[in-house]
Amino acid sequence: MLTGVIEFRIDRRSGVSTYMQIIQQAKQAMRLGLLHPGDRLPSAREVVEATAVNPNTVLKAYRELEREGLVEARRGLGTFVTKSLSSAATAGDDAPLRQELSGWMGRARRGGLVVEDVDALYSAVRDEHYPAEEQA
Amino acid sequence: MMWVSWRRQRAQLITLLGMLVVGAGVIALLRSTMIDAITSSQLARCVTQALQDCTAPDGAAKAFQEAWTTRLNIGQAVILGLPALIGVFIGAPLFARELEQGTHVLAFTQSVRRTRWMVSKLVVALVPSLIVLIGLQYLVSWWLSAAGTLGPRKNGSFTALNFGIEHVSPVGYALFAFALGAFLGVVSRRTLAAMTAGLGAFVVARFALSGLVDRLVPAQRLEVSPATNVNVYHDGSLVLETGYLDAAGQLVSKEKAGALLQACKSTSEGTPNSQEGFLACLPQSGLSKWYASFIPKSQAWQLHLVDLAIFGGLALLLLAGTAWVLRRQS
Amino acid sequence: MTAMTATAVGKRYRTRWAVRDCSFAVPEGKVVALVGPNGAGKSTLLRMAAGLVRPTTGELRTFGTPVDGRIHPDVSFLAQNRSLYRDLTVRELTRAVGAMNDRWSTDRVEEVLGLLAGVDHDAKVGTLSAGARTQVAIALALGRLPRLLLLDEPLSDLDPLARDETLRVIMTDVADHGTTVVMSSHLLSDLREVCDHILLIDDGRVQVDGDIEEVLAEHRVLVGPVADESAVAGTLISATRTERQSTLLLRKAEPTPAGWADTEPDLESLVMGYLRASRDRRSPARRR
Repeated sequence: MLTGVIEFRIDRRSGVSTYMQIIQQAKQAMRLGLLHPGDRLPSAREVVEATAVNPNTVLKAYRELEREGLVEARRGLGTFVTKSLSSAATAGDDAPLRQELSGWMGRARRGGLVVEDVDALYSAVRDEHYPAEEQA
Repeated sequence: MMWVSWRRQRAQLITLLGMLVVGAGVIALLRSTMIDAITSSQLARCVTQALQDCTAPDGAAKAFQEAWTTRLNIGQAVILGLPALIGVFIGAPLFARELEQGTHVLAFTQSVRRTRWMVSKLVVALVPSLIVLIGLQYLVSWWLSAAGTLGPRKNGSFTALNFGIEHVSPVGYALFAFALGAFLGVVSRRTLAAMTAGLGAFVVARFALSGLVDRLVPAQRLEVSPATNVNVYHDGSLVLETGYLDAAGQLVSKEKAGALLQACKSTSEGTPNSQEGFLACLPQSGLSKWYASFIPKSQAWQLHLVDLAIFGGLALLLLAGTAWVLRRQS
Repeated sequence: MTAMTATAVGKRYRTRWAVRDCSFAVPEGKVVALVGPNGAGKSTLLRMAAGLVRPTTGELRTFGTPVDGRIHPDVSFLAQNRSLYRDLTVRELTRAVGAMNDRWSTDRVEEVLGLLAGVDHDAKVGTLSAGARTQVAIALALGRLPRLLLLDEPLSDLDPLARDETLRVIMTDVADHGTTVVMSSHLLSDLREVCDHILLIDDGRVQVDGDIEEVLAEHRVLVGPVADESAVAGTLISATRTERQSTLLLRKAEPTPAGWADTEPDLESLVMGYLRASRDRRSPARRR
């Protein structure tokens, strides 16, 4: 039996609901190529054992992912990833865009920028290219 | 469920058992010491025979009674007081402590029925208490019979001390005291309040009901001429009522009888009357018969059974009340 | 199927109504946060559902059966004072509670106790810390294999580690068996992350009842100029006002008028809004 390949980290002080955190982390794992089609998401019980969240919330988040067509619940077996969100552009350490960003980040550090500076720059540029409506 | 009650009341039950063991040891020791004293003072025959009939050294009986009566009375008092102690220390805290500490909630939120919970607690507390009571009662009785007519038994079965510790009476009192304590415990929900109120109510009820039993057993009636010697006063009977009847068989009132008796004590000349003259005077002045209603010693067991019925019946009522309150308790 | 239904339930203690006219339904499988200030009637409500207190008015049902002075076999109750036999060891207590139940799993109790770090099986219950006693009480509640768990302030005396352990145990039971849970707390933050349904009680009355996400979606917080309040349409729950600015909590708000900022409330501010409104209704003099 294949066990879950990812683990959710629930941050209780983030202000983001558990439900949203699960959805976001699942999607991120798919984007980064950590989850491939056919992989099983951790069962509600496994998530609960690891994070002490409400299993109903986990199942609700999975239902939302299913509604978006990303996963599929198979009765008695679990919830499986059906779609890939990763592409050559995002998956793996050697993806070209990642390499470029990594190079930029290295220059920022050598230039004496601290984490807050980098985050501010990154979000400002991101918001220029991706207006608010698209992010929702 | 029984195991639960047994485990929770274990300390109490061990104390009870300890009381029985220590009591048995003390009584056995006292009894053998006492028998030695009887033998050494050559009083052995006075145990079964009346003091005036047995041959004993001068003053030996008196010396023995001075030495032992108090100890024997304490033994009797223990049996008389034990029901109250059972009520105060076992009956009253039984439910009051649970309600006070809120532990009844644990049992009330499991599938066991409240009545079954109550009954198991009652049985586990009551049965050992009664066993200890009956055990000690027999031990004291065994000790008292070794003293025989030298001891408190010479006063007959019906004195408060002798009657209250014999036969089934102590069991009746213990049932009542226990049920009273348990009932006050569920009503007050306070251990200390239930203990004090229980003790007070038990003592009051015991005194208030002590005369009742005599009236519930059919008494025997004796009618004799005033000159006859009667021995109801000496054979251990319980004399309930005495008085004089006139020639028609009607009761002569106490005051009138008193006046007539007084009148017969002197002759018409004013000199004190002789015994014969006095006895002859009585029928002539209208006191034809003397009567007594009494319960003979041989019927004492009936009195004990009635006693048990009264106190046991009250105990059942109180336990029913306890169950009713517990079923409604939140 | 509903796990628990209250129909116009009220409970009067002498002259004071602890709970009045409460009607709600808890659907099966929900994890319900029963929240409200101290003395709001949470404990009374749970004790009525457990058959310990009889309602003065109305009726409570668990799994369709009226609660009549007796706990439903599928319901387990954790009392606020934990009510355990303190002179027994944990092992003896487990046996004792098992003996008081028709359906019982000692294995389940031991499984749960095994997950809890701070509980020594051979220690007297009275010597355990308050937190460990709570954990033992929860393990015993699960030994009845309940379909509905009524927990009165389950987290109040737990340290963060024990709190996490305990929630994990309860939530695992929900994951494995679909158990319905009703947990009370006067601290919303205790329950926020683990509950999906809210039942807010104040002054003995139900103030909010529903799935948390739905309740939140139904409400809006509007911030705008005080002078322009008449432009806002919807059911006003509560408002806070400064000299120039109004912050309004609305239910079923109409489209936001121009000049007003509109956000979805978080659960904390929603609860605060309802509690403020309930206070104001009780003492209108203090209303500003």
